[in-house]
Amino acid sequence: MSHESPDSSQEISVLQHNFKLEDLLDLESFREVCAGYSDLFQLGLKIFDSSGVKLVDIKSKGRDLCAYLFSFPKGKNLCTREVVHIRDSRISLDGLTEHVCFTGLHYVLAPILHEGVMIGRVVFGPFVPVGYTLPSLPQMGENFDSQTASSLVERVRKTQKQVVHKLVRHLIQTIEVMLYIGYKHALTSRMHLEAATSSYNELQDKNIALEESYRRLKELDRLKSNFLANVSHELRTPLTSVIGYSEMLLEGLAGDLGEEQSGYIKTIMEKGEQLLSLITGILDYSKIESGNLSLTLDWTDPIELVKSAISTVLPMARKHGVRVEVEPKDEIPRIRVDAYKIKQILTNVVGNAVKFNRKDGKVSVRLEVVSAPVEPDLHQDLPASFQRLEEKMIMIAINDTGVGIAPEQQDRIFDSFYQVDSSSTREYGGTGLGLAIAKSLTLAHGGSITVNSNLGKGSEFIISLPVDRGP
Amino acid sequence: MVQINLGKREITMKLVYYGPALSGKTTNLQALHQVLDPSARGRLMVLDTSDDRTLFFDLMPVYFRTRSGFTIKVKLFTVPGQVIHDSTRRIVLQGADGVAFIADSQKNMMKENNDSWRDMTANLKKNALDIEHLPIVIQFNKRDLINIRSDEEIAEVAKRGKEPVFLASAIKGDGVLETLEGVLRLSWRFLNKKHDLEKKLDVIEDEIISNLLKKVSPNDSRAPYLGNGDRT
Repeated sequence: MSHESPDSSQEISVLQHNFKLEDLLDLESFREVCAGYSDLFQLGLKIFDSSGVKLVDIKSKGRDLCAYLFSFPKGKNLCTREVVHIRDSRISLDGLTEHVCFTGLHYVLAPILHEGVMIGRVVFGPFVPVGYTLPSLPQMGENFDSQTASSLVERVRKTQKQVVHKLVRHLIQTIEVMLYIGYKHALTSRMHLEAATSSYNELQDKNIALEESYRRLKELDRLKSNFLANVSHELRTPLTSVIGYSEMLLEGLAGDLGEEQSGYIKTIMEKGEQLLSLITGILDYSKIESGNLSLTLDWTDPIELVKSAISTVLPMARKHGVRVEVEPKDEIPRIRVDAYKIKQILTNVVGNAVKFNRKDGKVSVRLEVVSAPVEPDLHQDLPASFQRLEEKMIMIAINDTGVGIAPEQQDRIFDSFYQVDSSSTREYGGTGLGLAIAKSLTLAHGGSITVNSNLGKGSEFIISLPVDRGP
Repeated sequence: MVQINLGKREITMKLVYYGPALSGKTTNLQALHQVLDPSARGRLMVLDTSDDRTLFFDLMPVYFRTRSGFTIKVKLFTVPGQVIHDSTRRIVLQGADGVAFIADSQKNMMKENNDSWRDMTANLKKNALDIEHLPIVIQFNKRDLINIRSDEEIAEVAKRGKEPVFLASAIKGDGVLETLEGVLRLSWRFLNKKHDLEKKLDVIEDEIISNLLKKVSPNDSRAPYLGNGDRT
């Protein structure tokens, strides 16, 4: 299977993009929300993205103790270590993580998840449980004043752990909603841009291709028009003269004719008309072959089409003494077809049934709705499961009581220019294109045409047209 | 195309629900959203127009963490079915690891199924995805309607094709999990063969499937839908 190579300029879509926390939030609004939480509960709040960048840092009064400790060289080291820990340590993705620093101050850490993946963390604190007392901190050195430190502890929020846990969960839920809105907004706006860019590029390519094919088609159209005009003119003009002058001779405009002369002129005229019909048939067939057949589809009553076709061949039937009957068996639904083309098919097949009938013979046209099996691999480009086992078809069966067709000939009668034997052309007339055209037109409608015949007894042509499935 | 980030211990797969307009792609995702455990799936994002037609796509992630600490994330996308959104369909299909084709079971929708399949084939080619190897399952949806192709007929023709076929009535939630499981298994096997993921992640197929398709507990009182508001 061959593949078109992808457009090398095609960029990776926003749908494959891994968003960072800051991509999904409007940081200014987000900081306001965080400040609101912090202010309401008198707790410090920090938010880091997945690479450790601090996006939010709201300090509470409890921070004064940290600032005091930080002023000592040893305290600075210890505080820095704590900060690195709460920023970078591995935390539980399924719940909250508690951290207690060297002074006994508490922090609660929680992951910010997006589609199951951690894209940041929330750090709430410091706070101290009720009844907390500052431990002695000999490592801070001589200048450390435990009384000052203890007074600063008073500024640290005292609360129960459960309260902070509840608060963190609530903040996480709020962040999730903000992320969802941000994600949706990012996807929508960027997708809109991508789709518009892609459509624009595609249209540009199509425009270039269309301009080129328009130029070529114009040239081809000019050549084709010339050809058709030549064929029509060069063949039809002299032929019309041949037929016209023959007709004038027969009508005695150039004087009386003897019986033998009349016979010859009649033959000239008949053969001229046959040739004219052949040229018209070839033009029709070449249109189909070149793929220029266009169908004008409309909802149509099949019975009306059959009756119309019969009325066209009725004069010939009367001349041959052949009776033509219509038997609609069921209620026949309307179908969406090109009425002119279907009438052309029916006129041809019913015309054949009359032409190849015996004298005083009969042609009957039967219409019914049938369920027909669908050929496997009708559409090879589709998965097998899309194919129908059977579908509803309108069957138009044309029976005659004529000469019939031998089994070995039955497959070939739909080939162009084929006639059962060359003598039949002489005996019955015709170009040998009618059934080929009928078959092409039926196929173009998504239908089929088949024949059953008993030599010497008659033939049955069955034209099937789909009810549900159009061309 | 699967995104494997061994450093961050993340695997992200992309499965796309394709099919003709109004065949029930969004309804499939909504049904999955209802039935899957909230701990294993994210919110359902529906980007639609005021008349409930998908404008860009719908998106729902499902995920789980393996014992070895890897997060396996599967993003489920739908495409907009309407013909005019071809460029969006092509973008959504880009890098797909598997496709669930949602066909309409109604007899008079066969042409739409066929056209959409051809459209998908063309868009796969444009995205350099190989239809011969890309895992694809077919779901015949809307089994609850009348004038549909019979079970027997679909079973008979399904035997001729290589794509696994599922019957579903997404609006009732029937067959949607089975379809997702089908496309998930095929896609995982395909990726595992290519990247040897089960060995690298110390995980087996059944473990992934059972965790990703973990159903919501009947006692779970959490709101079942947190997206844009339910579509009817």
